[in-house]
Amino acid sequence: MVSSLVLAAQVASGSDGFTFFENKVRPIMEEHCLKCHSEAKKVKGGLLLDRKAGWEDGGDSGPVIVPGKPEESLLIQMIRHEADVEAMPPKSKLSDGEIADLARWIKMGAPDPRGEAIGQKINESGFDLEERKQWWSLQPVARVAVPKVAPEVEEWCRTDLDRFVIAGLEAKGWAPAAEADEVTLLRRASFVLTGLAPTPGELDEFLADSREGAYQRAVDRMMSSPHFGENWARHWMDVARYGESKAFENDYVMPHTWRYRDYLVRAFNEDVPYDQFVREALAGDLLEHPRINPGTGCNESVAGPGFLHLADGHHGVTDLHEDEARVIDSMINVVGTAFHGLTISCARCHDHKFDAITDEDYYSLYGMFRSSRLHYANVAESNWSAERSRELRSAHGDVVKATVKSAAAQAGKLEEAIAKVRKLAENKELVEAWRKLNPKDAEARKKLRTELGEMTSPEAARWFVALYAPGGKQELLGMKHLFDSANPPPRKSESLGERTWLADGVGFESAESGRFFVNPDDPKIIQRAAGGGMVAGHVSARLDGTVRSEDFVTDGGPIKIWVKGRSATVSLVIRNYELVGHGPTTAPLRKRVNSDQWQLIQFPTSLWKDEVAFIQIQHQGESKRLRGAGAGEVAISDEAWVAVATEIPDWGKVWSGANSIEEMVASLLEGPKDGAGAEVLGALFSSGLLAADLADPQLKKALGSLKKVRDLIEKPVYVRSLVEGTNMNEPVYIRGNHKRPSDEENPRRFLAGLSGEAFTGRGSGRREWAEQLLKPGNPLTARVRVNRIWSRVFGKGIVASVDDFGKMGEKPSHPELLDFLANDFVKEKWSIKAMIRKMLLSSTFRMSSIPGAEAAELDPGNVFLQRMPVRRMSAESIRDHILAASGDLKRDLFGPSVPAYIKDQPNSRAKPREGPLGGNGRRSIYLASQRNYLPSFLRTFDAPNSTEPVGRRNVTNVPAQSLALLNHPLVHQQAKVWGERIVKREESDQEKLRHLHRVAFSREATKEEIEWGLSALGKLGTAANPQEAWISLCHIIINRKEFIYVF
Amino acid sequence: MSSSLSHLSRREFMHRGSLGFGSLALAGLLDQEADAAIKPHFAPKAKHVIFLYMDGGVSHVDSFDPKPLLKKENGQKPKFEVEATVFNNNGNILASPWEFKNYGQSGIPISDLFPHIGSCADDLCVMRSMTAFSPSHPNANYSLHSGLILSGRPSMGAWASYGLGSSNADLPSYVVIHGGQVPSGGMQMTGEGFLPAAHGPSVLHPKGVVLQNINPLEKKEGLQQDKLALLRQIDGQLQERRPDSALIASAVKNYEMAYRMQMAVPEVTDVSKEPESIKKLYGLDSKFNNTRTYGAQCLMARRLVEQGVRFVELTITTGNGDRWDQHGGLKNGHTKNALAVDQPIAALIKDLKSRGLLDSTLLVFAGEFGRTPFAQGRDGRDHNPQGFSIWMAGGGIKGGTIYGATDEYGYHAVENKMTVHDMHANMLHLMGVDHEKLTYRYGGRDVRLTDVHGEIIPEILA
Repeated sequence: MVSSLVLAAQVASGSDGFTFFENKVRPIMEEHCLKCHSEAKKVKGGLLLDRKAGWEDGGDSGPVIVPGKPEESLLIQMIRHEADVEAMPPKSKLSDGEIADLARWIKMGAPDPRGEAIGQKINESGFDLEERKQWWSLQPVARVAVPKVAPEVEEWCRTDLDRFVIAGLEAKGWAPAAEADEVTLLRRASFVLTGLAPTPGELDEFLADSREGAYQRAVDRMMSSPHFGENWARHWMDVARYGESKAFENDYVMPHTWRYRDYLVRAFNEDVPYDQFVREALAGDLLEHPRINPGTGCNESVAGPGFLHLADGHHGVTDLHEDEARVIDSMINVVGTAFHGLTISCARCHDHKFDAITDEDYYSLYGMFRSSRLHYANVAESNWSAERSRELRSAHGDVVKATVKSAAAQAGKLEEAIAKVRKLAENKELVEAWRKLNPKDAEARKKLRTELGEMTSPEAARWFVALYAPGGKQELLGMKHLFDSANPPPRKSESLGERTWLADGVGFESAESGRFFVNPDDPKIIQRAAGGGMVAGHVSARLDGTVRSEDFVTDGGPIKIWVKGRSATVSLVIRNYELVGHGPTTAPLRKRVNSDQWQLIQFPTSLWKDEVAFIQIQHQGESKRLRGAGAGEVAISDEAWVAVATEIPDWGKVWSGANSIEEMVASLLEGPKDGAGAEVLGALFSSGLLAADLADPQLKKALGSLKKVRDLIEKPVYVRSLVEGTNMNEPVYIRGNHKRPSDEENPRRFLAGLSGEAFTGRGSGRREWAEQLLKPGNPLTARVRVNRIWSRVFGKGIVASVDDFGKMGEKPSHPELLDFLANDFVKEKWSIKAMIRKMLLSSTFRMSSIPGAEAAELDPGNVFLQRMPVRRMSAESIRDHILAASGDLKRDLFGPSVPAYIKDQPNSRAKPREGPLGGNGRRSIYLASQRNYLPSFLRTFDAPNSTEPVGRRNVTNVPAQSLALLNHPLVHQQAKVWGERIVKREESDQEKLRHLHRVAFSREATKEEIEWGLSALGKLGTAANPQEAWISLCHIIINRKEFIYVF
Repeated sequence: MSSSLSHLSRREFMHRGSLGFGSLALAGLLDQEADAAIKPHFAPKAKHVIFLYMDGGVSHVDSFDPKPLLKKENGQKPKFEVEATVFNNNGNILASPWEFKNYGQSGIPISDLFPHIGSCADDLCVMRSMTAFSPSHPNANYSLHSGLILSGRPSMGAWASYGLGSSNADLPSYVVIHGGQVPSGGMQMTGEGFLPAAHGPSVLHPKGVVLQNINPLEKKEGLQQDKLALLRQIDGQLQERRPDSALIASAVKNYEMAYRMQMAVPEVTDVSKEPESIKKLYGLDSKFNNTRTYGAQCLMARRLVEQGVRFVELTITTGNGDRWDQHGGLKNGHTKNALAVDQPIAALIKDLKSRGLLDSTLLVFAGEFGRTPFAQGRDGRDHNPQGFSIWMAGGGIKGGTIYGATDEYGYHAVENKMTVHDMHANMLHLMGVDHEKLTYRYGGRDVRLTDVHGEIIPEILA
């Protein structure tokens, strides 16, 4: 990148002409011309005045400057507003002095130092990477010494982090707040760790533990609670902008997305080290040794990238490239925010205005994601060892061999039936009747068939039907000429040319030499065969796979591909467009495959000429598709299979060389010579023309072993992930405009401000990106992560803007502490739990939330942590706490999302299925996150909109929240449930009130509260209707501030 | 309104509600994201905005932008290059099935779709050179509301609330009156995006429950008051224990506001007590259900504006015709949609005028795009973002004017082309806000409603 300013300065010193340009001409142009005639803004009339090459090239009306001849220069005529030329600028006129200066400059020969070529980016912002790199957050994490504190405060400190905090307070002369009482502390810790209040049982246990270290034991217990993972997963879901649908017009649901939520819950519960977490997030599909779930044997790591493609999805898009830019921007934004704490997406249109991020950085990331493809990975596949795979394939092969062999004797018995078919074929009337048969008319078919059977024999009828019925077997039609010379052998299929294919999953195999589909539970055994291209599902529908072509550029003509199969899909994915098949224009680009016959699929591309695309064939494609809001997930089919080919077998050849059918069948039964032979043989079995001999002992044995191995295959369990596609560098889009790519190559590499290291591997670069993030020299990764943890524990980050460590963010309140924690984090092997535990056990965390007088006045925002903050619970905690209090909370983990209660939201075509008011008692994290219909109760309490990454939620305090707690039907329902449970307790009203307070506030009721409670019950009418009174009281308790605040 | 409110007057409640609360001044926004709470940058012309959102895209060549050439070339293949459309089912030139008349002293031509609005022509400034950023509904809807084609961004109403705050302590500053038709892209397009939740819309419904959670569910008379009184008592104990916490104080205070809203919102939105003449004016006696619904919405809008609500947006009605999105059956669909809104909107203009409120209330009538001059299929029109018409009236707008122009087919804006950024800039300008100065720090940027664009258009300002 050449800085025009630097260049200008160099030449100006040696040239009067350049000096004149810089002093006179450049300012005039900047003020009056460049708004409409620069690469950076607009290019009106095709004229660029922001560089010498621009005016040399001229505009739509030709050259505008003739060096040395101002009178002949169109530019001068225009700025003079002369007749017969367009007046420029159109709405104003330059001063006479300015016009004279420009004329003089042209007279001088128009000396212009601005040497950028057309299409080259101009560095008008004066972006200086070295200067930008001086920003604090890009400096190496310092090895800081723990501050030495005075002996009298030393005893306050329990951990090193306390020493940093107290050192800050000492400097102010403030004493830390007193220690919070133990029940306040327990409740605080419980919400921070699990998002739930301690149960009365936990409270009792804690209070009964009078030994030293009771708090520590309680913290350890809560950290090993499975609810810990739920709570901390929710934090990350905010950052990952987790949502389960595509918003927009139809709010399509992304299938299997909820498994990413479950992945997070497990990851936090198991304390997956953060470095591993980062690797999985960016490249979980590429790890040599993925993390395997010890319980299920499933691949955990591959779910890591599941958040990347969670952007909204737009249908009816007219410019798919523009849409790709939008989706990839969302990925860049989430990665930049989550892991770097940088606003990388601000560098989409130009170098970052404030931070050390170039737009080459942005398009490097663009290229990285552009070279990766959305993929539904089967995590159960990791249970599928190579050894077992061999075993299965060999059992499968044995069954095929034994089946064919058991039928060998039938070859000699065909003569009689075939003679009869020959005779039938001469009966034109009969042939015609079958030809005209409506394939859906089962009645007519049955009638004709019975007639046939009566005329001949069942065997002959079967042959005849296979050849003459509508939808007859395409593989067998080639033998028709052996019956009837009017049927010449079919032509060889059209070849669609070469393509390179990339297969993912174990399902797909080459079918060039023929693959047989076997169902050991069906007497036919062999169901069909594929004899070309690739095939999946032939051994078992549960062996999953997807095949995609390399990228190619569409030429506007149709893209063709042969397919057959069941529950599969084939699509033409242009510019990684996930919603292909939805919306009017892309509807023809996605087809369900539901046919045993080869079909030629043709994807029109006239609307998308010259776009980058790939063909995608998905086994079990039906259960991997977006679905309408409210539709359930499509079950995995045990009948699914799919074959794909650019050229289909030439069955005619199999038959054309034969002298007789008997001879041909006999030869096939000895073993098909090629794919075409295999398909014909498969068709003979599937039509019942040949039958396996189920009594054959060898076949019996083979079937037994196949069933045994087959039953070990688990049903696929899908997660949204990525796979590598075709590796592409993406050019820089000038001004962020995808229609204006830079001429220069923009190789993928890490951020220039951090290392700028080039990617040397062969893949997209995602692995390299992860490794660069985790390199010891990277100053951001550990800092950003520990700061996020800190903000969740202490209510505010050391860097308050947790998502932005750049210049527009906030500076750290305790920079040394941040570095100390970052170092410690790495030293403790990136253990999130270890870090949280340290914070929870600190004296700082144990402080009361009552401020000292001076600190309250001078530090209302509590930057110096003189106390702990009073905090309102998160939306999810409020709802969960209400359910827990009433006794309705179900503590189950995981599973598909529960439809949310949305009765209070308007109808539309995208409105999903109505969910139960109480959400089946599930924690809020399990409520469906349908972007157009987020649960209004949670939104009222600032749950994020699930579209943008949010590391720090707004915490508002508005009347709508009071209205929700007063009048929302959920609150009334739960108050009722709670009241009914309370009233049934066999104890005095005082005892009931004590219980109520323990549940709601995790502490004993005060004397005043008991008095208040008793008098309230009186006012609410206990005597007349105790249950109603208790319900009302429970409603009041939920509305007490203490219910939703943590002290 | 619920009868349970009867035995405690509002004044009493406020008085009692304030007891023992310590200093409410502390209830500022210490621990929260502070509101911008700015004063207007300059004296506003419009204190209120009513945004009449014409969901689906009104056909400009059939309403406010007559194109005689369409009649001449009706049925012919377009002689111009056709841009990519959503349905890619582009037919021949389609003449407007409606006739245009010149209305008022200004003689602004308006089609027979809108005779009532025509009668207000001298109050309108018709902008015929509006453009949209996308031909797809959600993208265009998002940008019409927020300036960007993305979802999750703050809408203009939320910006107005953020910039100017509320002028009535009992009512929200930003209200959406929802006619029932959920716009393509979801109701969240009217949302506050990343602005604090206080600036989100209160979505009112002209039928049934007027506002989410506004109605007490207690069946027994006085029960809610009893609960509130007990709640104040016990929260008072907490406040005595924790006088330091401004958060708690302001949470307690919110219950007062909530209670006042419970009374004020149903009252202000209750159009049943309006005089018959007014009801008739707005079409509440119409035979067409959608006219009655939209009439009630317009009347509610006037009542809200009278009470100081800052920004009111109306979505259209549902149930008889699918928004303005006539890809087929243009005549029937547009007729029904116009029937629903024409009389109520004209009534709103006239009613505001007669109350002297039109000068301080800006009305904006806009869809997300226009429709193509050529047919989709036989008798529909596809989306046309390259040029279409919107209009403004009232607060600071020069009435009786036409601004900008499309080409002779109405396909592209060719004169004084404007974008949603310009529309937003001028709306804010009329409200006394400099659109370049109204910013919110988000994602490392000082974000504006108008992004980095938007021009004030002197020609449309009175």
